[in-house]
Amino acid sequence: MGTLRMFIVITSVVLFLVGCQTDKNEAENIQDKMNQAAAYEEDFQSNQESLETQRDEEQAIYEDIIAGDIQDKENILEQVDEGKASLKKQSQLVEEGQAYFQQAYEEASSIESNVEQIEDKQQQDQALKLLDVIKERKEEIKNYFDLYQDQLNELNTFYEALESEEISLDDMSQQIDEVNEKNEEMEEHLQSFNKATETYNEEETTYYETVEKS
Amino acid sequence: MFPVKLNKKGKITITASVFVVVVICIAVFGGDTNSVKKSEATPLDTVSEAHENVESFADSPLNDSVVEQEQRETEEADKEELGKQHQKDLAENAIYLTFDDGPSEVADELLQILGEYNMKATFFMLGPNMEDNPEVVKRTKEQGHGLALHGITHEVDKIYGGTSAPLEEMTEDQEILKDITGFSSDMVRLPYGSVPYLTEEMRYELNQEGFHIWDWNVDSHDWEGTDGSYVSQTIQKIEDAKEEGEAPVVLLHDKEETVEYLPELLAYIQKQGYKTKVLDNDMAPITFSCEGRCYSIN
Repeated sequence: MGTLRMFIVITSVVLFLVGCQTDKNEAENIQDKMNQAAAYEEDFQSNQESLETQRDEEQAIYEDIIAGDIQDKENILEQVDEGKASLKKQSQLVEEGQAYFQQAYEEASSIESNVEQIEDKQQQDQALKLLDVIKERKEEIKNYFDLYQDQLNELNTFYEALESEEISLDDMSQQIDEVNEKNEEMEEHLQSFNKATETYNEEETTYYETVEKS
Repeated sequence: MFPVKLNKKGKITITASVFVVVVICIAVFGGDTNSVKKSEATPLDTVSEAHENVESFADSPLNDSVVEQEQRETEEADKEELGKQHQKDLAENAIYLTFDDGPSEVADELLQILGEYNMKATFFMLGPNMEDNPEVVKRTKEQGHGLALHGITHEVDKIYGGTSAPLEEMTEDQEILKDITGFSSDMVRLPYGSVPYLTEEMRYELNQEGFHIWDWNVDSHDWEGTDGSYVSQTIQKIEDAKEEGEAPVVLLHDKEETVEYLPELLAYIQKQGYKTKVLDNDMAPITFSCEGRCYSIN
């Protein structure tokens, strides 16, 4: 019976150690992936800064246009061209931003396969929280970019209306009102996105702490 | 399960084996417990949330300049058309009698007097008054008079209370007239005339919806007194208008004091051989230009 006890103890110790090792391996993989995702996200951050600069430029053009007089149509049309060119650049930047974020998201969300392998309940729960917030950020930024493209289309329609012979002031006024409504929605999505980013950082740190303590 | 009883050598072997396994396990599995560190996490930055609203287009100088330009173009086109109309009207010795504010309680009497002189007029009517007197409105149409709109409230703070208020009142008035007579009139006259309360934006909205804003070139001032002195004043102004090469468009009111002395005026018109005509949707209207005089009551 002494041998049997010995066998059970040894087996348990080995199994425990194997379990620890599996979780540790998954944690290492998770950290590698998260760091890689963070590296990808630097491009996204930089893209957002470019987008903001471009947006400011376009707004300045818009404000110059609406401060003008329709009698000076030639000048207005030149500014409209500049405005439309700026919108095109913004549209490209939005597409790039989406691609950069998608790359980071795919890397970060790929931890799901690792999370499934974690045996320690506490570690797994914490890793699942991290996974949830990764998905939440994705959802918020998707909504933001969708609205951004809609807003650019709305502004483009506004500029095209200025180019046409018959100007419908009601339509144009409504287009700008919608641009501003979208602005507010976009800001709300960015606020939620930033809040999710803060939660992401906290959950990631908490997960590593949980792993360190195990 | 293990019926074989080990001797001392066997026990030593097993113990040594276990020891080796444990050492191996620790060496392999337990030697690198700190490879995952929270300090190695790369926190993400937040992004700028700034999405400043753009300035409203409706309040912009560009919007105002478009309104002004379109108003100028409309006025120029109307002026040209009106010039042709005046030429034709002068050749016919035409005159346009117009009555605002009705139909009143004396509307029937008014129609009867016009009928006695075999004359036609155009009525700029208030929606609630039409609803109160639908039969008179129908008779007005049947007798070949012109049907036009004067709004709903006739109150300055309401009909000029917002940029869209005149359009809303005239649209409602138009529907009331159409419900009663089946006729849709585009001719509107604003209470107290289009200057000074009808702003450029209000004019633009009315024009955009196809309404024609009618003022006048002969103001009878029939609202000032009750002694019929308006008749002589009106006669003088009719002659002035004719001298200026314009067909007279006379502002009168559908009210008791006006109707009482109307035969005197009609007798003069008849004597002078004028042909009374009615305004219609296709005519270019006489509209007072703002020329910097229009302002919002707000």
